Formats: sequence, structure tokens, C-alpha cells
Amino acid sequence: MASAAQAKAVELQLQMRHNAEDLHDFLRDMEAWEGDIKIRDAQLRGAQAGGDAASAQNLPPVRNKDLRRKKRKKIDNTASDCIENGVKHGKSEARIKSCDYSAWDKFDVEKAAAEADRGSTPECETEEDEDEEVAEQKQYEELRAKQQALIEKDKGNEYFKTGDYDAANDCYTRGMEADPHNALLPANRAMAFLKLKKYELAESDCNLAIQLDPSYPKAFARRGAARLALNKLKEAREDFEAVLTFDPVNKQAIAELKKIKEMIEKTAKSGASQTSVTTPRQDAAGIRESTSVSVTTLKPEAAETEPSNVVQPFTRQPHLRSKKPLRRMTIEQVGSDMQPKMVQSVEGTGLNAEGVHTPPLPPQPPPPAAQPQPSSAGVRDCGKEEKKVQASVKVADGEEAEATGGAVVGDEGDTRRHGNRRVTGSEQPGVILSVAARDEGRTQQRLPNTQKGTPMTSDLAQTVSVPPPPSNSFQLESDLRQLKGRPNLLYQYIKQIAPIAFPQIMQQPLEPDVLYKLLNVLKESYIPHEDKALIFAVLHNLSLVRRFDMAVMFMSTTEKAVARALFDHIASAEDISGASVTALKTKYSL
Amino acid sequence: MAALDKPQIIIHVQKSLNFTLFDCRWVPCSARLVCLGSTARGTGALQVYEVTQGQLNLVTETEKAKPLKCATFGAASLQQRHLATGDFDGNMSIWNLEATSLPVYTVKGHTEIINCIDGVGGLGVGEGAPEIVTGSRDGTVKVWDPRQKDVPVANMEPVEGENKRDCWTVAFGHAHTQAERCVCAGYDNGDIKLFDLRTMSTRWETNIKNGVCSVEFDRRDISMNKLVATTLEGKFHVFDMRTQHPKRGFASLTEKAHKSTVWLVRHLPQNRDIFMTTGGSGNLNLWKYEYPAQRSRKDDDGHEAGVTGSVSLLQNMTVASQPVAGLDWSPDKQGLCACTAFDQTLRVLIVTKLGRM
Repeated sequence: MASAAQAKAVELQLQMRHNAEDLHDFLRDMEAWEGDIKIRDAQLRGAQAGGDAASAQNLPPVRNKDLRRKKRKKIDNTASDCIENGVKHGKSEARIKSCDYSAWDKFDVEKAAAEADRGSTPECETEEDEDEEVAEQKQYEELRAKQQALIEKDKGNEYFKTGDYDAANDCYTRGMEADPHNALLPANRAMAFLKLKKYELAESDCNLAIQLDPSYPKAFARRGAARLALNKLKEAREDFEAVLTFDPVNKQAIAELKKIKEMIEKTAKSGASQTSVTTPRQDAAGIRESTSVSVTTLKPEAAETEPSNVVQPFTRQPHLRSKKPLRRMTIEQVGSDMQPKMVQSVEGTGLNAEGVHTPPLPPQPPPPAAQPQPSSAGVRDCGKEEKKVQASVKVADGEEAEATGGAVVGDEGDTRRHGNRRVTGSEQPGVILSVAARDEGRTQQRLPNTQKGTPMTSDLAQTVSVPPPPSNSFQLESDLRQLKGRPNLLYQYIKQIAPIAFPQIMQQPLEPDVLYKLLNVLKESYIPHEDKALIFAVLHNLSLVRRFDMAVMFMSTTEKAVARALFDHIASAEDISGASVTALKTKYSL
Repeated sequence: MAALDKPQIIIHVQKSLNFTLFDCRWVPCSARLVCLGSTARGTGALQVYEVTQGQLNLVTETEKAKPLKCATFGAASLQQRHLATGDFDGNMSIWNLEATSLPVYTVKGHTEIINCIDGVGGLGVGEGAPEIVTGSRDGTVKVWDPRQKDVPVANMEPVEGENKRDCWTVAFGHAHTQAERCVCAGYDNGDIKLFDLRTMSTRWETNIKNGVCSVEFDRRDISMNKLVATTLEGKFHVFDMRTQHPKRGFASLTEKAHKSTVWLVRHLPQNRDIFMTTGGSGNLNLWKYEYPAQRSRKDDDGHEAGVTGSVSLLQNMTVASQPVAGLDWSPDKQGLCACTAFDQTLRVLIVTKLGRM
């Protein structure tokens, strides 16, 4: 008996020890497992972004997909049957014999009327239900898109952290497509552009972000940084000041403001009395080279030149004057709708101020000593653009030369001095402008005859020539700005661009005002002069440009009216199918 | 069985929470688990915890408009690990646990509370499309494919005019080829129905006289083997699903498990013959099924009929004072499991010696 009890006690002890050991082993095992599984977990989480699509393949189709369609039809049929039956049923019940007067006394006309009403409505109700469903669906769709945008943003941020700015850009762009109303995405993309030194793109993205959410200080800060890098000091200062209104203790903004102030002071001191904000033009890819010139590195001679907007009078004895035939100079008004520019010499960088064409500069002997040394101010490096510039220089006959006075210069040496100086404050501009006005009137009269593709280069009265077709969207934008208020030139300019070329030219996102300007030209000039197929082609190709839908979204009612007028015009065309027009119309959200 | 080989059930960690817990699930391939339920003010709670060296750390926490009743990872791919949930309002939603603010997929599938949910086709287990099945108080059982919006791919509802019974539990099974797939549903009146999704018909039905609280196949991704159904009054039934007799259906055995409602049955992922049942008084029973020498025999008419084996209780343990309504074995670590009880406590349990069974 005692031994049995003892044996049991021993066994119990053994079991307890065993259990304790087992548990100990398990816990130790589990600790190791925890470590392993957490690593795997992290890997899976990291891979989550990419590996979705691969697993989606090899799956069987959704069950009963065809059956469902059939069923739905059947349900529709039965539903309509029910309605019919209901109506019939109601009729048979309401039937009271004409001789049954007591029954007619009890007959409730209002109730019967209400019932009749009800009988006729179910169909409408079901439709309403469907509408609600559709609305709900849309809501979900939107929510999903927003969620997608956030996921893309997070992914983009991850890439950004690792320094892969291009991949981050792609993510942000996808996110913006999913949810165009989120200000964070363009702001983040702007940051990535800043890192990539694509400052103009960064600025335009910031503009968009600010448009979407005007109370987002980071967008202002980034735009400020972009503008600072583009040497738009004043605007940069405004941006950083805007940041300070949101967040008065923002260290970055304070520091940047201080820097800008110093820079402005420096440029002011260095003698440039005129506004000293330069906008270097970017090259086609929009990438600013690291050789870009900032205000601080301005060449002293450029800074020291006297104001370039003053035309120096000059006189020369008749016998000293050049015997060469006179050449007509293009004179443009600069700065009426653009910010003032300090003309600056940038040698060998290929930079070129917006849309200003200058004559080529062959090597020349120094001009007469009486004149102030022609500084490099007013001279642009234009090696690349030599050809098109030559095209815009017209040879004028003597009479014309007399009429335009100082604008026509005797020889190329003089051209150098007077070429594209701003003509203000002297007696000449008045003359020239009046000439220009008169000539424009003339071109307008002449237009119907010459419209069929004849470039008006021979029209010597043209003070501003039609720029060559643009090769990128910046050029297009600046040309549009330059040709503002000259519908004929605008028309010719746009006409040069083959419709198919639009998406190619506008590699950058389409700005709403550019779209509007183009539409306006189409309406003003294309409708009277061009056939409908061409207008349709242009409209169609415009709709293929990047971020076109965004630009459409920002169209005001007047702008939409312009688009509508265009569509009304082309709607009657025989050679364009109605369906394609309506499809395009929806793209323009009309 | 020698006392030495008995598995032990040990509470590893427990954490008292401030909402009513309905279900918990291990996130596949991780040491994280999701628990969900209803807050005091009638909203849904979704929390993710991570087990780290004997501690439960809260990872994320989200509040939803409606209380969440049930959840599954069964239809999620391992890359995504999206959680499918059913709520009190009849919405079935799929969530990305990394961004829970908005669902990846959502559908108002039922007019009343979704009691139960199960998924198949994900996690690299089983064949065929990812599908989610939901059972609701409105009497319907619906199968959803996350690739198809708004409409279920299959809908099992009572015939017009018949009483709508509350569906308490659903389970997928038989998903061993791309086409084959079955859904088993248990109802409050004791009905068990087996729907064949390939033929779109009811393959088998029976009544076990008491409300069916939980059904589960021992494996979803094999040709049907065993089905366990637990009932209101404390018993559970084990059906041998290998052989279906044309008249008698599937052979079954009945076992008295708890003194109260058997809320749940969950098979061990690493050993399909071991399963845990949870009782209304907060106790857990661990069972092992022993197969008979011969799984089927011919009856007098020459039809094959199934033969049941036997079940033996391996261990029991009282872990809570209230019913244990949620239990999930870790798919990655044998012997690790989590359970939730109505005492608002989340527990992580360790069951030892399972490898030696």
C-alpha cells in the first residue's frame, strides 16, 4: 500500500518536472520562432506593394459569372410581371357593379385614386433604388480611389526616403491620377522634383497643390524653394512669407527669407537699378543644368551696364552710313505682360530669354567711339536659334525704312546696339507702334486670301513675326504669352503645329490657361477659316495631352462656353462621326 | 494514455481590453493577431497585437461604425494578408491591415447581422478562386469573390414561404480541385446543410436537434474528411465525410463535451485529428479523433456506409469565467493559440506536447 502511494508520488513529481521542462523548451523555441517570423512578416509587408499582380494570375474565373447575367434578366422580367399583375389585380378588385348603389356609396374615391397612383409608381421606385445603388457604388469607388492614392503616396514616400526620386515621382503621379483632389500628392511630387533639380516642374506642382489646398504651408515652402532656385527672388520671398503666416516660427522659412533679403540687397548694391529678377529658360527636358546662373554669380560687366531699356540716340554723317541695303529689325514689346527682366549675358549655356528673337551677331569691328561701349547687355546667346532668327529678319526697302525711322538700322554693327533693346521713353516707339497697328489692320484684311497655308513672312509690316512651331510646352507657353492680343499671329502660330504634334510637344502637364488660350484661338480663328475636320483633330489631340482632364476640371463657365461653341460648330460636319464627337465632348466634360 | 504524455494548456499572456471581444485571428506568417468586437458605445473595434517575449503589444487600433462580429484570412493571399470581416449591419468588408481607414472591398451583403464568415483559396492553401462565405440572421448564406463587386457568386436562401432560420455558422471544405468546393452551414434550429458549389445544389442536410453553434471541416483543402458540429446543449457531433450513404448520409458520433453550450470547434492546423472545443463556462477541451480500423463497410443493400471512430479527451482547462467565443490556432507555430472570451480578455495560450500526439 505504502509503496504504491510512494510510486505515485514519484510519478507525479516526474510528471511535474517533465511538464516544466516541456514548457521551458516550448518557450525557448517560441522566442526563436518569434524572431524568425517577425523577419518574414517584415519581408512580406515590404513586398506587399509589388507582388499583388503576379498572384492574381492562374486563378479560375469568378464563379457563376454567366449565370448571374441570365438571372438578372430573369429577375427584371419577373419584376415587370409583378407590376403588371398588381395593376390588373387592383382593377378587378375595384370593380363594382353599376347597379350596386349601396356599394358605390361606400366607395372611397380618394383611396381608390391613391391606390391607382401607387399602382403606377413601383417602376419609378425601383429606378430610384437603382439610382441610389449607383450613387453608393460611385461613392465606394471614390473612397477606393482615395485609398489607392494614399497607398501610392506612402509607397512614394518610401522610395523618396531611399533616394529613388524617379520611382517616387511615378508613385505620386499614379496617386494623383487616382485622386486628383489630394493636395499632398502634388506637394510631395514637387519635393521629389526639387531633389531632381527640376525646379519649374516643382513650381507648377506646388501651384497645383496650393490651388487644391490654399492652407498647406509645405506647398508654399516648396514653391518658395523652387522659385529661389529659379532666381525668382520676389515670388520666393512672398511664398516664404506665406509660410510664416501659417507657422510664424518656421525656422526654414525664416532662414530662407534672410537669405533672399541678402541676395536682393546684394544685387541692388551691385548697381543694377532696374528690377533684377531673371528667369533663365530651361532646356527641353526641363532640367536646369548646374551651370545655371544665379544672381550672386552675375558677371560684373552685366551688372554694371547702364539700364538696357534706354535707346541711345546716335547720329552719323551721311557718308559714313552704310551702303548696304537696309534690313528690317523685329522690334518687340517686352515686359508688358511679363515680369520685368534684367537682360543678362549668359555665354555658352544655351539659355535664352523667353521668346525673344535676336538677329545673329557676326563678329564686327567695334562701333564708333562716340557711342557707349556696347555691353553684353541686350545680347543673348543665340547660337542654337540662329536659323529661325534669320527667318524673322526681313529685308525692307528704303521707303519702309524711312517710315519706321530708328527701328531700321543701317548696318549690322548698329543692329548690335539697338537690336532688341526695349523701346521706351523715346519718340520712336510711337511711330513703330502706329505702324504696327496699321499693318495689323492690313494683315487682317488680307488674311482671307492668304490663309491657305501661306506664311506671311513676306509681309514686311509685321512687327512681331510668327515664332516657329514650338518643340516643348515651355516654348509654347511663352510664345502664347508673347502673341497675346494678336489673334492673327496666334492663329498662324497655332496653325503651324500639326494636330498630331500636340501631345508630343506638351510633354509637361497641360496648364489650364494654355488650354483655354488654345481653345480661344480655335474659336476665334479656326471657325471662320478652317474646315471642321481640322478643328476636330486639334481638339482630339489636345485631349490626349497629359493631365488634360485636370485642366478641363478647372475650366470656368466662360471657358466651357468657348469649348461648347467649338463643338456646336463641328457637330454639323459630315466627315466626322457623331459618336466620336460626343465621346470627345465628354472628355471636355460638356 | 500515460499522464506523462498529456498535453498541457497554459495561459502564456492575457490582456484585459475595454470592449466586447467576438473573434480573434492570427495574421498569417507573423506573430501578430487581430481581435475584433464591439465597443461600449456600439461601434466596432479592430485591434492588432503583437506577441513579443511574453507580452501583448498593441500595434494598431481602428474604430468602425458598426460592431464587427467575425473575421477570416482564409481568402487572402500571403502577399496581401487582407482581413475579411462581417459586421452587425450585414456588411462584409475586406481590410488592408496596413491602412485600415477604408476597406479594400465592401458590400452590404445581408439585411441583418453577419454571424459567421469563412474564407478559402488564399494563403497558398487549397485550390481555386479566393472566396468568402458569410452566414447571417436573415437566413441566407452568400459566397463572395473579392474580384466581383456588389453581388455574391452564390446565394443560398430558404425557399419562398419557408421560415428563415438564423444561420450561426458556415465553413468551407472540399476545396481540393479548382472546381470542387463545399459550404457547410449550421442553423439555430439544428439544421446542418451542405451546399455543393460545383453543382450549385444542396448535397446533404440533417438536423441534430439543437442549435448548431459551430461547424468546421478538419481541413478545407482536401477531399472532405471529417466535419465537427457543436451544439447549444453541450454536445458535439463528428461526421465522417468520406462516405455518403444514399439514405443515411454521413455516419456520425456524438460526444458530451461541456456542461454548457459548445461555442466553437477549431482543428489544429498541424494535425487534423486534434481539435479544441470551447464551452459556455469558459473552459477549453482538447480532443483527439481516432479512426476506426475500417472507414466504410457495405450494408445489406450493397451501399457503402461510413464507420465512425472514437474521440478521446486529451486535456481540459478553464481559462475564463465567461463563454469563450473566439479561438484561433496559430498557423505558423504549433501549439500556439489565441482565444477571446466575453470577460473582455484576450489570451494567448500554449499547448505543449502536441507534436508527440
